[in-house]
Amino acid sequence: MSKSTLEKVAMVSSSLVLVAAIWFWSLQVGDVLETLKLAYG
Amino acid sequence: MDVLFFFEWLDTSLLAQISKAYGGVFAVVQMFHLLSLAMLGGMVLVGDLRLLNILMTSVSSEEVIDNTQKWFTVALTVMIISGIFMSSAVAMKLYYNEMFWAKMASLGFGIAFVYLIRRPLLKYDHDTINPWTLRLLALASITIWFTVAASGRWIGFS
Amino acid sequence: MLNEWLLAFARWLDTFSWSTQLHESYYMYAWIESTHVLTLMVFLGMLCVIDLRMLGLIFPKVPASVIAAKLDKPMMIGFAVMIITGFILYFAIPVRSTQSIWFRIKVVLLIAAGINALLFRNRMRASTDTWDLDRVPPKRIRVGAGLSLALWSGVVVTGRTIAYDWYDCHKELPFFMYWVAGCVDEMASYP
Repeated sequence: MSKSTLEKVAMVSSSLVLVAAIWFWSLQVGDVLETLKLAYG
Repeated sequence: MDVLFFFEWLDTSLLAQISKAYGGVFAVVQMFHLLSLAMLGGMVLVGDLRLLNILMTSVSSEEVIDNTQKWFTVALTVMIISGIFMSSAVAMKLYYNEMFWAKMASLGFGIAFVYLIRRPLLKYDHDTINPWTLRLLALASITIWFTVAASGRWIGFS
Repeated sequence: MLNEWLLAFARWLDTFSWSTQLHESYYMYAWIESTHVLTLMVFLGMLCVIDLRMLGLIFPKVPASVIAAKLDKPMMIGFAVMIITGFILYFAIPVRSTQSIWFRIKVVLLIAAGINALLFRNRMRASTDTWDLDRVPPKRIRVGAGLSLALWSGVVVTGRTIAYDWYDCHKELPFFMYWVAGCVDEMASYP
Protein backbone atom coordinates (compact mmCIF):
# COMPACT_ATOMS: atom_id res chain seq x y z
CA MET A 1 0.00 0.00 0.00
CA SER A 2 1.33 3.45 -0.80
CA LYS A 3 1.65 5.94 2.02
CA SER A 4 -1.25 8.11 0.91
CA THR A 5 -3.57 5.10 0.60
CA LEU A 6 -2.45 3.87 4.00
CA GLU A 7 -3.18 7.29 5.48
CA LYS A 8 -6.66 7.27 3.97
CA VAL A 9 -7.34 3.74 5.22
CA ALA A 10 -6.14 4.78 8.70
CA MET A 11 -8.38 7.85 8.67
CA VAL A 12 -11.48 5.90 7.58
CA SER A 13 -10.95 2.86 9.84
CA SER A 14 -10.19 5.02 12.88
CA SER A 15 -13.36 7.04 12.33
CA LEU A 16 -15.32 3.80 11.92
CA VAL A 17 -13.86 2.48 15.18
CA LEU A 18 -14.93 5.58 17.08
CA VAL A 19 -18.46 5.54 15.62
CA ALA A 20 -18.84 1.80 16.30
CA ALA A 21 -17.56 2.17 19.86
CA ILE A 22 -19.98 5.00 20.63
CA TRP A 23 -22.83 2.93 19.18
CA PHE A 24 -21.80 -0.23 21.09
CA TRP A 25 -21.29 1.42 24.45
CA SER A 26 -24.46 3.51 24.28
CA LEU A 27 -26.34 0.29 23.53
CA GLN A 28 -24.80 -1.27 26.65
CA VAL A 29 -25.66 1.74 28.79
CA GLY A 30 -29.21 1.63 27.41
CA ASP A 31 -29.52 -2.04 28.44
CA VAL A 32 -28.28 -1.24 31.93
CA LEU A 33 -30.72 1.64 32.34
CA GLU A 34 -33.57 -0.61 31.24
CA THR A 35 -32.65 -3.26 33.81
CA LEU A 36 -32.35 -0.65 36.54
CA LYS A 37 -35.79 0.67 35.62
CA LEU A 38 -37.27 -2.82 35.86
CA ALA A 39 -35.54 -3.39 39.18
CA TYR A 40 -36.20 -0.12 40.95
CA GLY A 41 -39.02 1.39 38.89
CA MET B 1 -19.83 -20.50 9.61
CA ASP B 2 -20.73 -22.09 12.90
CA VAL B 3 -17.84 -22.49 15.30
CA LEU B 4 -19.84 -24.40 17.91
CA PHE B 5 -17.80 -27.52 17.12
CA PHE B 6 -14.63 -25.72 18.18
CA PHE B 7 -16.10 -24.81 21.58
CA GLU B 8 -17.43 -28.34 22.03
CA TRP B 9 -13.96 -29.66 21.30
CA LEU B 10 -12.30 -27.11 23.60
CA ASP B 11 -14.78 -27.96 26.35
CA THR B 12 -13.59 -31.58 26.45
CA SER B 13 -9.93 -31.04 25.55
CA LEU B 14 -6.97 -31.76 27.82
CA LEU B 15 -6.71 -28.02 28.41
CA ALA B 16 -10.25 -27.99 29.82
CA GLN B 17 -9.55 -30.98 32.02
CA ILE B 18 -6.67 -29.08 33.61
CA SER B 19 -8.36 -25.69 33.84
CA LYS B 20 -11.54 -27.17 35.34
CA ALA B 21 -9.87 -29.49 37.82
CA TYR B 22 -7.12 -27.27 39.20
CA GLY B 23 -8.30 -23.90 40.51
CA GLY B 24 -4.74 -23.04 41.45
CA VAL B 25 -3.42 -23.52 37.91
CA PHE B 26 -6.29 -21.43 36.58
CA ALA B 27 -5.46 -18.65 39.05
CA VAL B 28 -1.79 -18.62 38.05
CA VAL B 29 -2.66 -18.43 34.36
CA GLN B 30 -5.14 -15.67 35.11
CA MET B 31 -2.33 -13.84 36.92
CA PHE B 32 -0.32 -13.77 33.67
CA HIS B 33 -3.43 -12.61 31.83
CA LEU B 34 -3.90 -9.70 34.26
CA LEU B 35 -0.22 -8.73 34.33
CA SER B 36 -0.06 -8.69 30.55
CA LEU B 37 -3.24 -6.63 30.56
CA ALA B 38 -1.35 -4.05 32.61
CA MET B 39 1.64 -4.18 30.28
CA LEU B 40 -0.49 -3.96 27.16
CA GLY B 41 -2.39 -1.02 28.64
CA GLY B 42 0.84 0.75 29.53
CA MET B 43 2.28 0.34 26.04
CA VAL B 44 -0.93 1.44 24.31
CA LEU B 45 -1.37 4.46 26.57
CA VAL B 46 2.23 5.65 26.41
CA GLY B 47 2.32 5.27 22.62
CA ASP B 48 -1.06 6.78 21.89
CA LEU B 49 -0.84 9.62 24.41
CA ARG B 50 2.49 10.52 22.79
CA LEU B 51 0.79 10.63 19.38
CA LEU B 52 -1.82 12.92 20.95
CA ASN B 53 1.00 15.14 22.28
CA ILE B 54 -0.08 14.63 25.89
CA LEU B 55 2.67 12.43 27.33
CA MET B 56 6.47 12.27 26.94
CA THR B 57 6.48 15.21 24.55
CA SER B 58 10.24 15.74 25.00
CA VAL B 59 10.95 12.36 23.40
CA SER B 60 10.39 11.92 19.65
CA SER B 61 7.17 10.06 18.89
CA GLU B 62 9.05 7.68 16.53
CA GLU B 63 11.22 6.64 19.48
CA VAL B 64 8.20 6.13 21.75
CA ILE B 65 6.28 4.09 19.16
CA ASP B 66 9.38 2.01 18.35
CA ASN B 67 9.94 1.05 21.97
CA THR B 68 6.34 0.41 22.98
CA GLN B 69 5.52 -1.78 19.95
CA LYS B 70 7.91 -4.54 20.94
CA TRP B 71 6.44 -4.98 24.41
CA PHE B 72 2.92 -4.64 23.08
CA THR B 73 3.48 -7.77 21.01
CA VAL B 74 4.92 -9.61 24.02
CA ALA B 75 1.91 -8.67 26.17
CA LEU B 76 -0.60 -9.54 23.44
CA THR B 77 0.99 -12.96 22.91
CA VAL B 78 0.85 -13.82 26.62
CA MET B 79 -2.74 -12.59 26.80
CA ILE B 80 -3.89 -14.73 23.88
CA ILE B 81 -2.19 -17.89 25.15
CA SER B 82 -3.46 -17.45 28.73
CA GLY B 83 -6.85 -16.39 27.37
CA ILE B 84 -7.30 -19.62 25.40
CA PHE B 85 -6.48 -21.62 28.53
CA MET B 86 -8.94 -19.63 30.64
CA SER B 87 -11.70 -19.93 28.05
CA SER B 88 -11.34 -23.72 27.99
CA ALA B 89 -12.70 -23.81 31.56
CA VAL B 90 -16.00 -22.20 30.52
CA ALA B 91 -16.04 -22.85 26.77
CA MET B 92 -19.75 -23.60 26.41
CA LYS B 93 -20.78 -20.69 28.60
CA LEU B 94 -18.66 -18.36 26.47
CA TYR B 95 -20.12 -19.62 23.22
CA TYR B 96 -23.54 -18.38 24.30
CA ASN B 97 -22.25 -15.16 25.85
CA GLU B 98 -22.85 -12.02 23.82
CA MET B 99 -20.10 -10.04 25.54
CA PHE B 100 -17.55 -12.73 24.70
CA TRP B 101 -18.29 -12.29 21.01
CA ALA B 102 -18.14 -8.51 21.35
CA LYS B 103 -14.71 -8.97 22.87
CA MET B 104 -13.55 -11.38 20.16
CA ALA B 105 -14.80 -9.05 17.42
CA SER B 106 -13.01 -6.04 18.89
CA LEU B 107 -9.90 -8.12 19.56
CA GLY B 108 -9.80 -9.42 15.99
CA PHE B 109 -10.30 -5.95 14.63
CA GLY B 110 -7.74 -4.55 17.05
CA ILE B 111 -5.05 -7.00 15.93
CA ALA B 112 -5.71 -6.20 12.26
CA PHE B 113 -5.72 -2.48 13.06
CA VAL B 114 -2.38 -2.61 14.85
CA TYR B 115 -0.45 -4.84 12.46
CA LEU B 116 -1.98 -3.85 9.11
CA ILE B 117 -2.65 -0.14 9.60
CA ARG B 118 -1.08 1.46 12.68
CA ARG B 119 2.38 -0.06 12.44
CA PRO B 120 2.87 0.25 8.66
CA LEU B 121 1.73 3.87 8.77
CA LEU B 122 3.84 4.83 11.78
CA LYS B 123 6.97 3.51 10.06
CA TYR B 124 6.97 6.72 8.06
CA ASP B 125 8.38 9.93 9.48
CA HIS B 126 5.56 11.16 11.75
CA ASP B 127 6.12 14.76 10.65
CA THR B 128 5.04 13.81 7.15
CA ILE B 129 1.71 12.35 8.33
CA ASN B 130 -1.37 14.55 8.64
CA PRO B 131 -1.61 15.39 12.38
CA TRP B 132 -5.35 14.67 12.36
CA THR B 133 -4.73 11.18 11.03
CA LEU B 134 -2.30 10.60 13.90
CA ARG B 135 -4.78 11.88 16.48
CA LEU B 136 -7.66 9.80 15.11
CA LEU B 137 -5.41 6.76 14.94
CA ALA B 138 -4.38 7.19 18.58
CA LEU B 139 -7.94 7.75 19.80
CA ALA B 140 -9.16 4.71 17.86
CA SER B 141 -6.36 2.57 19.28
CA ILE B 142 -7.13 3.56 22.89
CA THR B 143 -10.85 2.97 22.25
CA ILE B 144 -10.29 -0.49 20.74
CA TRP B 145 -8.12 -1.77 23.59
CA PHE B 146 -10.36 -0.26 26.23
CA THR B 147 -13.32 -2.01 24.61
CA VAL B 148 -11.47 -5.34 24.47
CA ALA B 149 -10.53 -5.08 28.16
CA ALA B 150 -13.87 -3.76 29.42
CA SER B 151 -15.99 -6.25 27.47
CA GLY B 152 -13.61 -8.96 28.71
CA ARG B 153 -14.22 -7.98 32.32
CA TRP B 154 -17.95 -7.77 31.68
CA ILE B 155 -18.08 -11.40 30.50
CA GLY B 156 -17.82 -12.36 34.17
CA PHE B 157 -20.79 -10.22 35.12
CA SER B 158 -23.13 -11.07 32.26
CA MET C 1 -6.35 -9.06 69.98
CA LEU C 2 -5.65 -7.24 66.75
CA ASN C 3 -7.89 -9.68 64.89
CA GLU C 4 -10.79 -8.94 67.26
CA TRP C 5 -10.36 -5.22 66.72
CA LEU C 6 -10.19 -5.58 62.96
CA LEU C 7 -13.33 -7.74 62.94
CA ALA C 8 -15.15 -5.29 65.20
CA PHE C 9 -14.19 -2.48 62.83
CA ALA C 10 -15.42 -4.50 59.84
CA ARG C 11 -18.70 -5.24 61.62
CA TRP C 12 -19.12 -1.56 62.34
CA LEU C 13 -18.61 -0.76 58.63
CA ASP C 14 -21.12 -3.50 57.83
CA THR C 15 -23.82 -1.71 59.84
CA PHE C 16 -23.96 1.10 57.28
CA SER C 17 -26.90 0.50 54.96
CA TRP C 18 -24.70 1.87 52.15
CA SER C 19 -22.35 -1.06 52.50
CA THR C 20 -25.11 -3.63 52.02
CA GLN C 21 -26.78 -1.64 49.26
CA LEU C 22 -23.51 -1.49 47.36
CA HIS C 23 -22.88 -5.18 47.77
CA GLU C 24 -26.36 -6.12 46.64
CA SER C 25 -26.69 -3.53 43.89
CA TYR C 26 -27.34 -4.65 40.33
CA TYR C 27 -24.48 -2.81 38.68
CA MET C 28 -22.74 -0.41 41.04
CA TYR C 29 -20.49 -3.03 42.62
CA ALA C 30 -19.61 -4.52 39.22
CA TRP C 31 -18.81 -1.09 37.82
CA ILE C 32 -16.57 -0.14 40.70
CA GLU C 33 -14.85 -3.50 40.54
CA SER C 34 -14.35 -3.16 36.78
CA THR C 35 -12.93 0.34 37.22
CA HIS C 36 -10.58 -1.03 39.87
CA VAL C 37 -9.37 -3.80 37.54
CA LEU C 38 -9.17 -1.76 34.34
CA THR C 39 -7.18 1.01 36.03
CA LEU C 40 -4.45 -1.63 36.25
CA MET C 41 -3.71 -0.65 32.68
CA VAL C 42 -2.97 2.91 33.77
CA PHE C 43 -1.21 2.44 37.11
CA LEU C 44 0.60 -0.84 36.58
CA GLY C 45 1.03 -0.09 32.88
CA MET C 46 3.01 3.09 33.62
CA LEU C 47 4.90 1.38 36.43
CA CYS C 48 5.77 -1.43 34.04
CA VAL C 49 7.30 1.00 31.51
CA ILE C 50 9.31 2.75 34.26
CA ASP C 51 10.57 -0.51 35.77
CA LEU C 52 11.42 -1.99 32.36
CA ARG C 53 13.52 1.13 31.72
CA MET C 54 15.27 0.65 35.05
CA LEU C 55 15.96 -2.95 34.03
CA GLY C 56 17.41 -1.68 30.76
CA LEU C 57 14.77 -3.40 28.62
CA ILE C 58 12.95 -0.45 27.04
CA PHE C 59 13.81 3.10 25.84
CA PRO C 60 17.59 2.52 26.04
CA LYS C 61 18.30 5.89 24.40
CA VAL C 62 16.06 7.94 26.69
CA PRO C 63 17.47 8.97 30.11
CA ALA C 64 15.92 6.92 32.91
CA SER C 65 15.05 10.06 34.87
CA VAL C 66 13.04 11.43 31.91
CA ILE C 67 10.92 8.27 31.74
CA ALA C 68 10.37 8.28 35.52
CA ALA C 69 9.48 11.98 35.61
CA LYS C 70 7.15 11.96 32.59
CA LEU C 71 5.20 8.87 33.58
CA ASP C 72 4.92 9.71 37.25
CA LYS C 73 1.77 11.79 36.92
CA PRO C 74 -0.38 9.33 34.93
CA MET C 75 0.87 6.56 37.21
CA MET C 76 -0.21 8.44 40.34
CA ILE C 77 -3.59 9.26 38.80
CA GLY C 78 -4.08 5.54 38.19
CA PHE C 79 -2.93 4.78 41.72
CA ALA C 80 -5.39 7.26 43.22
CA VAL C 81 -8.29 5.70 41.31
CA MET C 82 -7.24 2.21 42.39
CA ILE C 83 -6.95 3.19 46.05
CA ILE C 84 -10.33 4.94 46.12
CA THR C 85 -12.18 2.15 44.32
CA GLY C 86 -10.29 -0.37 46.46
CA PHE C 87 -11.54 1.24 49.67
CA ILE C 88 -15.09 1.27 48.32
CA LEU C 89 -14.83 -2.44 47.46
CA TYR C 90 -13.60 -3.19 50.98
CA PHE C 91 -16.43 -1.09 52.39
CA ALA C 92 -18.96 -3.14 50.39
CA ILE C 93 -17.72 -6.49 51.78
CA PRO C 94 -15.88 -5.64 55.01
CA VAL C 95 -16.36 -8.71 57.20
CA ARG C 96 -15.37 -11.37 54.69
CA SER C 97 -12.40 -9.33 53.41
CA THR C 98 -11.07 -8.78 56.93
CA GLN C 99 -10.94 -12.52 57.53
CA SER C 100 -9.57 -13.29 54.07
CA ILE C 101 -6.09 -14.73 53.87
CA TRP C 102 -5.61 -13.20 50.41
CA PHE C 103 -6.74 -9.76 51.46
CA ARG C 104 -4.28 -9.84 54.35
CA ILE C 105 -1.36 -10.91 52.17
CA LYS C 106 -2.37 -8.25 49.67
CA VAL C 107 -2.24 -5.49 52.30
CA VAL C 108 1.19 -6.68 53.50
CA LEU C 109 2.48 -6.75 49.90
CA LEU C 110 1.03 -3.29 49.29
CA ILE C 111 2.92 -1.91 52.27
CA ALA C 112 6.10 -3.68 51.14
CA ALA C 113 5.69 -2.31 47.61
CA GLY C 114 5.16 1.17 49.04
CA ILE C 115 8.33 1.01 51.14
CA ASN C 116 10.27 -0.35 48.17
CA ALA C 117 8.98 2.51 46.00
CA LEU C 118 10.08 5.12 48.57
CA LEU C 119 13.55 3.60 49.00
CA PHE C 120 13.85 3.22 45.25
CA ARG C 121 12.93 6.83 44.64
CA ASN C 122 15.51 8.11 47.14
CA ARG C 123 18.20 5.83 45.78
CA MET C 124 17.42 7.05 42.30
CA ARG C 125 17.42 10.73 43.18
CA ALA C 126 20.77 10.39 44.92
CA SER C 127 22.47 8.71 42.00
CA THR C 128 20.81 9.45 38.66
CA ASP C 129 23.65 11.79 37.62
CA THR C 130 26.05 8.90 37.38
CA TRP C 131 24.00 6.46 35.29
CA ASP C 132 21.05 8.37 33.85
CA LEU C 133 22.20 7.82 30.26
CA ASP C 134 23.37 4.22 30.70
CA ARG C 135 21.45 1.74 28.58
CA VAL C 136 21.40 -0.64 31.51
CA PRO C 137 21.30 0.96 34.99
CA PRO C 138 23.52 -0.31 37.86
CA LYS C 139 22.62 -3.50 39.70
CA ARG C 140 21.07 -1.93 42.82
CA ILE C 141 18.62 -0.04 40.61
CA ARG C 142 17.77 -3.16 38.63
CA VAL C 143 17.15 -5.08 41.84
CA GLY C 144 14.77 -2.37 43.06
CA ALA C 145 12.89 -2.40 39.74
CA GLY C 146 12.64 -6.19 39.72
CA LEU C 147 11.41 -6.19 43.29
CA SER C 148 8.83 -3.54 42.44
CA LEU C 149 7.45 -5.61 39.54
CA ALA C 150 7.40 -8.76 41.69
CA LEU C 151 5.64 -7.10 44.64
CA TRP C 152 3.00 -5.42 42.49
CA SER C 153 2.41 -8.69 40.64
CA GLY C 154 1.81 -10.24 44.04
CA VAL C 155 -0.69 -7.52 44.86
CA VAL C 156 -2.56 -8.22 41.61
CA VAL C 157 -2.65 -11.96 42.15
CA THR C 158 -3.76 -11.85 45.77
CA GLY C 159 -6.31 -9.21 44.79
CA ARG C 160 -7.77 -11.61 42.25
CA THR C 161 -7.77 -14.59 44.61
CA ILE C 162 -9.81 -12.72 47.25
CA ALA C 163 -12.79 -13.81 45.15
CA TYR C 164 -11.97 -17.51 45.65
CA ASP C 165 -13.33 -19.20 48.78
CA TRP C 166 -10.62 -21.89 49.03
CA TYR C 167 -9.43 -20.68 52.44
CA ASP C 168 -12.51 -19.00 53.87
CA CYS C 169 -12.78 -19.24 57.66
CA HIS C 170 -15.86 -21.49 57.68
CA LYS C 171 -13.95 -24.22 55.84
CA GLU C 172 -11.89 -26.91 57.48
CA LEU C 173 -8.39 -25.48 57.37
CA PRO C 174 -4.96 -26.25 58.77
CA PHE C 175 -4.33 -24.21 61.91
CA PHE C 176 -1.70 -22.12 60.13
CA MET C 177 -4.27 -20.94 57.59
CA TYR C 178 -6.69 -20.00 60.36
CA TRP C 179 -3.96 -18.00 61.96
CA VAL C 180 -2.93 -16.15 58.77
CA ALA C 181 -6.52 -15.44 57.80
CA GLY C 182 -7.11 -14.13 61.33
CA CYS C 183 -10.29 -16.15 61.80
CA VAL C 184 -12.11 -14.92 64.88
CA ASP C 185 -15.68 -15.70 63.95
CA GLU C 186 -15.72 -18.63 61.59
CA MET C 187 -19.28 -18.16 60.47
CA ALA C 188 -19.12 -14.35 60.27
CA SER C 189 -19.39 -14.23 56.49
CA TYR C 190 -20.84 -17.64 55.76
CA PRO C 191 -23.76 -17.08 53.42
